Amino acid sequence: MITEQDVAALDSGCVLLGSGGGGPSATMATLLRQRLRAAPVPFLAVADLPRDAVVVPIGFIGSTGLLDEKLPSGGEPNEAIEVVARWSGVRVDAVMSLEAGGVNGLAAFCCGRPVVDADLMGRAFPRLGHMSTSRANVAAGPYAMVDAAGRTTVMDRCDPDAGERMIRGALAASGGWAAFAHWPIRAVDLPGQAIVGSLSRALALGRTMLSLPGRAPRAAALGGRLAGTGRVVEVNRSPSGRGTVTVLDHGGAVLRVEMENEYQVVFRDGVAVATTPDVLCLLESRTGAPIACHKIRPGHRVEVVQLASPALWRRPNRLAQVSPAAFGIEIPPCLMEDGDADDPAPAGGGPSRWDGPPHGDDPPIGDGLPQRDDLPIGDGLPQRDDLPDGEGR
Amino acid sequence: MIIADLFVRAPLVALAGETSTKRQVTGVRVAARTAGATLSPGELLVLLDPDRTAWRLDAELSRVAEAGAAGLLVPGTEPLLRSTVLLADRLEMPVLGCGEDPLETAMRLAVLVASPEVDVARRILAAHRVLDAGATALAEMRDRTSAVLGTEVTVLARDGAVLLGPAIPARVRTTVPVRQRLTGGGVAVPVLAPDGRTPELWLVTGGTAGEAATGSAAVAGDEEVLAVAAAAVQRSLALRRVDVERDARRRSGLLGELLQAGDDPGPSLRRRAAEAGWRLDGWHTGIRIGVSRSVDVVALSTDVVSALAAEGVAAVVVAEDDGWMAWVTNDTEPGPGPVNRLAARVRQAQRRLADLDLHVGMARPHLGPGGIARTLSEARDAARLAGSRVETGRFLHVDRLGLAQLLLAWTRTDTFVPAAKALLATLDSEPGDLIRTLTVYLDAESSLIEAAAVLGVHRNTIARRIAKIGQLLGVDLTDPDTRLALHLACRVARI
Repeated sequence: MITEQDVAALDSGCVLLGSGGGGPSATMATLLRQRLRAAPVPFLAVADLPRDAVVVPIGFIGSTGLLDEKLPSGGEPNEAIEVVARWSGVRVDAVMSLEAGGVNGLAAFCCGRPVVDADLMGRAFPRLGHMSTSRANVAAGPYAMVDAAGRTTVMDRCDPDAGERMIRGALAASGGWAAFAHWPIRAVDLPGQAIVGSLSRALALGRTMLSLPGRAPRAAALGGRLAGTGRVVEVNRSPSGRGTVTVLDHGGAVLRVEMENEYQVVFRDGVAVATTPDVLCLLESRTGAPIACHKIRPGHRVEVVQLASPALWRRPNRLAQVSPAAFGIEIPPCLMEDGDADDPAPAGGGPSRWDGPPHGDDPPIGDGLPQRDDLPIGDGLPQRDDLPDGEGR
Repeated sequence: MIIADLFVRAPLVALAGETSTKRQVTGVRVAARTAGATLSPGELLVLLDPDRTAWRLDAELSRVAEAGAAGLLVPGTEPLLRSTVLLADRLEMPVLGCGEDPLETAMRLAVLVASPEVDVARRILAAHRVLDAGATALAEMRDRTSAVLGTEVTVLARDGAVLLGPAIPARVRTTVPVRQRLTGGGVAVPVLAPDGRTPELWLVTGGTAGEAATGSAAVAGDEEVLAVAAAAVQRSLALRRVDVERDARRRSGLLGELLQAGDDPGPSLRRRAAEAGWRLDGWHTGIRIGVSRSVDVVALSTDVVSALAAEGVAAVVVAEDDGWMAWVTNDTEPGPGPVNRLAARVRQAQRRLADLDLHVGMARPHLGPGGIARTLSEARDAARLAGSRVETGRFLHVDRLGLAQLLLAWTRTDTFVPAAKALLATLDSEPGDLIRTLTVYLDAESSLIEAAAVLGVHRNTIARRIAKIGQLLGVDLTDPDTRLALHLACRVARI
């Protein structure tokens, strides 16, 4: 069960996994506290689910910062879940998180339904194409969006690029954000399709963060690696959305952190030392609070910390989807390997290899979901034939 | 060749790593895309189209540093991200920006680095081309040389004073008329006078590259270009001097004829005077400007004219052997007021030219063509007197001269002085200080007693000496005319 007392740790861990992005979570944390005070939510491990249990990933998309200005009623996620359930003709047994970073790590707990310990990113990423269930040029669906006014959009048979464009269009028309429900996933498929254990990782990281004394070495306690410590001397943001943070390391090295919505690459003296999909955090040196990409400014004293990415993203056939090149930085990924952590067995219990080996089964998308005869268009699931050679099984 | 040398040869700026511009450059490599080219130590990598805010520039910088290359050159001169600047400083790797087409700059630098003498030859040719346009003004020649060198050239006078261009921090040894390498990478080249030994001017570059550049190929190139410029300046000065000399000779010939012609110059002389811009009618006030040192009177004529003009004196100036004749012409007879004002101005002009050590005489106004001769003659006498008059600032105005002094001045003509000395020469060889005795005797109104008192001898001695003088000179001292002539001769001989 997740109770009101867990919110602080969950929030802290999710912000950490936001890698500088994921949106501000304070409003969602307040909402979640209020909901959990009324009724705690069951928190289920994937292994504890029946094979055929149907899980819907849920979260918010768009400018999640606007959640502070244009408040949600709280009912949007459930409406979106209902929409995909109706469209797919399934009964939803539980929900899971879209992304375990930032706002969306908390949003899944606000639906009043049991929450499964999994998500589709293992951290925060900006786009549809960065979900573990997305493959380039493979159409999938349904996805449902419900905005604050109850306006509902259903997208089906969308490949990630087309889907992204449709989402952008719909968001522009609907006021910046929307609750977003992903097509239902069978519990038995979760280990291959999703990042399993990511929410409990966030919870564990958050508990470690909260328990750390003021100036403790945080990277080691979190099971990560310290890329540098120093003062931010320059923050450059270009109109394209890209940005650069320059940190002058105490040792004299020049750290250059490239960012977009999240921190993506850390260069040390011109050489890449840490890249996406690993989680990159700029922690305020004194308090340890993660500083988001849109909040970082010259003068901040920061620790640059690298946390391991989920094993799923390390599979050779999945890495390209979230590698630096996917964000326009043409360098090979530079990820933490086993034993790279500053402290291989951190006292705070921070996971370094927390979700299994990087090589495993990679089942096709949507395989084995309950079929329905009366689906209005097609069957709402991607066809096996759509998978390009070399992808999938 | 070092990085700093390149700045002089191409429109480069240091965007980062300014402290590392002493790195050696052995080659230039051009890369269209980053992360492709393999680099050798000492090479300068030219990136043709980088995004100057992108991480790639940092990555490239680190790669360049690892290869031991000389530095990085990027297009444009806009500042880099702080990140790149800090990194360049940390890696001690200069990042240069260029204001022109990067490919063109790269090719230029490649030639410069591979064979500096080609660049030197090209610059010498360029210098010949722009400086060979004949007798142009010195300022124009300096500007053209500066353009060829890509740095400001300073022109120094022979004593080291700056005539044109910025001040030079390094010291030029102006007493040694040879090319000099200055501290700070500068070069000084003398412009020699026609005698080929004494420097008339110096052409100097300050140098930008600092101590390390001294003796490098770039400095050698500067030196050769300056030498071409120095030769051109020398030629130009010589041509100007010929012009000036010719003009001076024409004017002095014209003045000679005028002085001869008196009150009635012929039509041809009038025409030529008019062509020279001289007015013969009206009231002329003569000024004689003499120099005691030996100086180039013709070359300094412009200085004299401009000094007078600066004081508002529009005078005709004609150079002579040891000074200048000048006169001012008025339509009506100038009264004492205007004449005194003119005198004051001439005096100011003399003060302006104080370093020439001039003595100046000014005459009274005289009328008509003959007046020129008269006033100039007066001025000449006044100037001669002024030469020995330190107390009046070596300036004398005829209006203020006593009659006696004028008379005395007239005795100092070139014909009288030798005659007077010859007259008294016979006395010089005799014992008894006869010239002094005669002078004192005549000064004492031919009184033996008075003269004896002055000289401190017995009056019979004076009487005997006077008799002997009369006998030696064969003159009668009772004759007033004789006494006057001898009296004047004594005055001249004493000086």
